[in-house]
Amino acid sequence: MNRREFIKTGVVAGSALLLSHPFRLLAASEGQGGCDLVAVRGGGAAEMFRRGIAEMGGMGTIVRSGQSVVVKPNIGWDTAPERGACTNPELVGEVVRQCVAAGAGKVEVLDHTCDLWKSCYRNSGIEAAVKSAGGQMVPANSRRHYTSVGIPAGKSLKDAKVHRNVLAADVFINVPVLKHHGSTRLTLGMKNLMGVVWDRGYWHRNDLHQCIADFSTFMRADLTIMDGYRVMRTNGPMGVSEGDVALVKAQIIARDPVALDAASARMFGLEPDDVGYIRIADAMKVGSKDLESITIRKVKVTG
Amino acid sequence: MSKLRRVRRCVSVAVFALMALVFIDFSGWVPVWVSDAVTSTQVLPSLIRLLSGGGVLAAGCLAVVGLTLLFGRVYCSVLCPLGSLFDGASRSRSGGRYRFHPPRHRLRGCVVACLLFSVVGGSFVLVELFEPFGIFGRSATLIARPLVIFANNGLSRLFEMGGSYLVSPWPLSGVAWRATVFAGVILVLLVWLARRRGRLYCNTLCPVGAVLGLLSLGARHRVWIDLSTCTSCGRCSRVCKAECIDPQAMTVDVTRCVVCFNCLGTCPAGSLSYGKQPQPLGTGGGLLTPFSSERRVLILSALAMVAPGVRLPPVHAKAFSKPGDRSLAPVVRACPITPPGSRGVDHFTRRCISCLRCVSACPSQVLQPSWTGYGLAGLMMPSLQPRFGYCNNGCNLCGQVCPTGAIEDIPLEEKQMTQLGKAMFVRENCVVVLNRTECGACSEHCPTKAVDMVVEQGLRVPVVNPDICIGCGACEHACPTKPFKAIYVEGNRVHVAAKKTEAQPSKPQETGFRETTEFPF
Repeated sequence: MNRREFIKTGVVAGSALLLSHPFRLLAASEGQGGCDLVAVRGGGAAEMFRRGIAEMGGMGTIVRSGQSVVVKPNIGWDTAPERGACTNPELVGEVVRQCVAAGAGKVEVLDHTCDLWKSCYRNSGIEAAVKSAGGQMVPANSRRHYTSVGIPAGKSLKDAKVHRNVLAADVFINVPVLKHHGSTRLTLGMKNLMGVVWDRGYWHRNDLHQCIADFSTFMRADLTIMDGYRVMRTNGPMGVSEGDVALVKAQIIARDPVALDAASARMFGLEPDDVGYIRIADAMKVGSKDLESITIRKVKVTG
Repeated sequence: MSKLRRVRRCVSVAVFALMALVFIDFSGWVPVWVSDAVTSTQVLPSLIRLLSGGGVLAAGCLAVVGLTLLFGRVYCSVLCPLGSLFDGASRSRSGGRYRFHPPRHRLRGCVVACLLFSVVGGSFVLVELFEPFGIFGRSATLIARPLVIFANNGLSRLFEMGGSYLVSPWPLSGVAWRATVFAGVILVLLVWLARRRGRLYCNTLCPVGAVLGLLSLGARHRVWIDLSTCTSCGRCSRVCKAECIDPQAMTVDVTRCVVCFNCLGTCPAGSLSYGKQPQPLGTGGGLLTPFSSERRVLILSALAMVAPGVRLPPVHAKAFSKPGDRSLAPVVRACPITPPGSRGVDHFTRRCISCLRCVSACPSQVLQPSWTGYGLAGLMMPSLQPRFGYCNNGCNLCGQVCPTGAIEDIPLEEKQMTQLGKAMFVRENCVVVLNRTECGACSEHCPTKAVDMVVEQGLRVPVVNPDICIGCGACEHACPTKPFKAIYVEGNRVHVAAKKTEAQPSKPQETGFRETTEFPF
């Protein structure tokens, strides 16, 4: 999509949004697309996304009219948004809203939760945000929602049962939250994909890092948005209290899942090589962990 | 149909429907107060509450005593859900099928004596076998509820095929087969008995029926026969499901009459009426005991005593190892995990009647009927069984709905700090140790971080801090090893207070977190 197309779809679909925030028109027209990764800091989660996606070339470059979209936030735990265990609901709401504005036929949001799914959907605030943005929460805790697929490039994970709505979707958007993790060190984008498979126990039994990388050879999100607004510094991935959370106000957006995870690891304070599955996925050519070799656009939101 | 009979029917159908709804509701739709109000009408749960400290809900049994002294055994016709179930089951058969049978006072006496004996001896096993509310609760929870859930999930599937998510699926994480089969066999036997002989169970085996029968000897209102007009035609006797009207002697055995009013409209001479009897007559037929009833009771009670003594292999041992399964150290839970608020095994087993109301309310499905986990003290009593789920940290529903107070309604804050058991790490079964690969599923799910991952030779291995463990079973549920778990919860015989998870200010640095304001790339 060239710039003209972008502006056209952007103006048609998101005119209300743009008009209500005139300064963003400037930001949008500055957005050239053409960058590999956008990092945003300093604003609210939804606000950072509006800026960041404009820099990426707008949601219209990801979602086309009539397409079906599945958005996969982290809704794994029955905790309030302040605990930082689940993706920021405002961000999820904004992603859905932009998909709808870009003309998506339907926008579905799901996660195979760890805690009780209805409680997770409700108490994370994501259900309400998605509904008001025009999206649909889809259950993902029954085996019948899953279809077996082969993973030809997988080393440890040769097959997996994947949520059928994810397999059927035209566009798949991954919206993880940046968190400490007790065993893999960090929960990032590729690890967030564990929420679209049925049998996670198999992954845990058979080299977790390798399985995460294996699955990312099969399941590639069209866009990954890392929520680093609240970051769980310790006691991840669920956390014990709000004391585990730091207000970092960051967001990273990319198509390359390995680059996104590498940049997110840096944002947390670790090196990409500190996280096993980033190393393996890079070696398996899922993407590049080398942040020097890609174009990164950095946006600071103030006020 | 007599007016009284119509009223009785309407009320009993309403009570039955409400009671069934309370037990079958899987989505938490029925408010707790409705559940409490409905179950507080039941004699035994309310009596247990009365004996162990009272409270508003304990008033139910006193009300039933008053009701019985005034109106006879209306409880059995209107408030007892099992009685209503029997009436429903025997209804489809055409009339005129019953005939008078002499009472079995000695059998009833034996049942009550055996029950008292076993309760004093510390076991509710016999109560479980014979008490109607528990039988109803188990049938509803273990048989009707899963069927409704299957139906819901089928409906949800249909809706989803049409692109709608209006009906949510409710994934069942498993079925406690032994308890379900046990409850099913009892239900089938009792329904079969009801279809053949009406209220025979209520008037021979039911301990509540026996006690209310005795009380109703003093009932002010009763069904009575006007001797001056009765022709001993026996029509009333043929519709009497309690088989308590003797047309020859022209007597109604009030100890067995459940005041269903079915007989009132059948008398061509109008000799039957309900109200104060002008000249109270003795209850007839007390001396007739044609069957060797004592022997039956002895056999039944012997069976009941022996059954829980047969210890079957525990849950974990029945999983068979497959090629590739590497955790081979058997895991056996020595003490069951009792629900939060139950204070411990002894407090719990002395009050629980295994009605399974908690099991039906538990949203995480971790509460399941045990089989022999409690040994002699209680077959089918609920315990936390992590293979079905784990105790939701933000939930204390089981205590709110428990009809007997076996699970006390403790505040959520107290529940979250109550240690039901302690996590035990079985190192030789752990993936990290066996395969030398990362896992951490146990620690992921731990709400207090009592299970933490500590670096050992470059890998992160679980370490348990038992002081802050609350015994919720999340680690055990999540542990992926097969066939045996590498971490499990050993129940506390007596619950204790868990210590608070201490804030560890030095820890964030260990995770590598660095506060930045710029872009570190």
